[in-house]
Amino acid sequence: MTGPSLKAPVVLAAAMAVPLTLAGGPAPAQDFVPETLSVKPTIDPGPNVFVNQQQWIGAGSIAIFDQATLKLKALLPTGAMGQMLVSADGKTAWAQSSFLKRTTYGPNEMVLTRFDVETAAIGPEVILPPKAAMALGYTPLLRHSADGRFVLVQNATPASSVTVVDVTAQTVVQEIPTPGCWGIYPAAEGARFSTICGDGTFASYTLSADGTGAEKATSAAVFDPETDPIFIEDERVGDALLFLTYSGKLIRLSDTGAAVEKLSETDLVAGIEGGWAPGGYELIAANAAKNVLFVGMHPESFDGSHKKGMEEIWAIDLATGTVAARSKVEHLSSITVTPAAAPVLFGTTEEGKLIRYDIDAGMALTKSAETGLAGFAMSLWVTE
Amino acid sequence: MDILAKITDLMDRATEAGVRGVAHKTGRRSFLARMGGGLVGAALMPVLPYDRTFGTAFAATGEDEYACDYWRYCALDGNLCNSCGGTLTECPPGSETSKVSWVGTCRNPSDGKDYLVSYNDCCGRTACDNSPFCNQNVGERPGYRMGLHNDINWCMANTSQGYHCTVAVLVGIAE
Repeated sequence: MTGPSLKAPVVLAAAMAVPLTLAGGPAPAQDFVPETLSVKPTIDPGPNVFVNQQQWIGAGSIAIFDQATLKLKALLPTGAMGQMLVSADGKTAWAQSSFLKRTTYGPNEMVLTRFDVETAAIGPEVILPPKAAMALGYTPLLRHSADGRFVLVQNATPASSVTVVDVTAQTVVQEIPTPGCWGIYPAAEGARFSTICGDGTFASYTLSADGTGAEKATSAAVFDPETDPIFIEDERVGDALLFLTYSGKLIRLSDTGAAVEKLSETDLVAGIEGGWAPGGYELIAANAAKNVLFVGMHPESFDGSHKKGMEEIWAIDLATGTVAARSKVEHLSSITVTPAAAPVLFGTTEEGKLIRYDIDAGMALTKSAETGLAGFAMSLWVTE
Repeated sequence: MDILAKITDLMDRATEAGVRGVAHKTGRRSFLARMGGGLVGAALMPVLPYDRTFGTAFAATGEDEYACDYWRYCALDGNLCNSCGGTLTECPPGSETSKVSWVGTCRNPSDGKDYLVSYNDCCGRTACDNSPFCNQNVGERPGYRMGLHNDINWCMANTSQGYHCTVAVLVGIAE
């Protein structure tokens, strides 16, 4: 059969002939060295920003940008409705995502995919029980234990549970029921994690050495889900886990023991006019070196405004619980900050931008670069 | 424990034994386990006697059902099915209704009453980006109050899980 298969080489030859003519230009033909086609073996060096470019209509991606220039270094391919996880050293990334047999219908194969960041290589992958949460990108929905042994996947059927994946063995070792609870908050050491429960408590699970068992401990109520619920995005500064309530209270928790304990509660908007409240998706970012927490805020808040784009970012001095600086921003949805002593903040917008902000000594922000994004870019991650 | 929390707890308890049962069958894709959880939720959510309003609705007070500020969309996050071949209460032809849903409490400006609105996703077709994309969140809560959460695909308990669009069905009046 003749047709496309025979035409293709002709087209290719024609395409290759054009550069020969143009690139040759006035130079003698014998000086021309044909270029060779290859794949770039590694991404460009230097610190990265990872953005989960989630798609619900089909394949999404994890985009890797250069921190200094925001130049795109590589895309790591995911399925639909993916969650992103990056190792603390920035060398490994994972995605949990859905691969529907016919893209919009048919059996859904849910996969935990590992990526080598330097080469952007895929694999190995682990097939998950088909229960993983198909949610907007939130960092607490895909985490790894502090000892690096286990990846933890938030499930919703809509009953809540957590799938435990042994990273070394590349197998699912356990599924832990977490009824009425949501989000995964690994302890700073070992293989324990906590989760927020709908009655205002936290439940904590300490995994056995092989990951197949878990001991549960429940905290006292640490927030009031009726009057002032907490956002699920967290930050860790030292031994403390930081959460925000819808109204703007900063809650510090300790997860060093078997059960979570409340350390303090600070009203960040007390005495500040304008009805300001926190809002966004990944709406807080901490820099431990400066002991500062950046919080996305909007004015004239009301019931239902908690996902509103950020109009300002407030820098909270964690030593005093007071506002050190307020900076206007471009309706950001999500933010992250580098851990360096001279930190840089990155934010995404619902309109599809990644924006870099420099931070001065007083913790005020100045926009220094921007680039375009694809998909629902609600979660981002940054390493040194 | 409020009514919604009790129902969520019941939903979770009903599936907990099943979850434990599959804990060591890790490579096997268990549609039955997922469907079991979904059907429990499906049986409970539409008759939810939910009576909390989380304050007054501010943004959604309009009366044009093709606009995002239509009053019954006060907690709708997604594409409008009535702009995709369906209606306020009907999924577009060929799609499936979600077996589970989230619930909002919205004030009808014409009679001043608060109605319980079941936001069912319609499933198994391409995301209908032809429609307005709405993102209203009155009373919306994170996943630890799953029945009030709208940042998740409520086609999760269906056999066809592609998100298409969302309807807004009145299922009761808040006390």
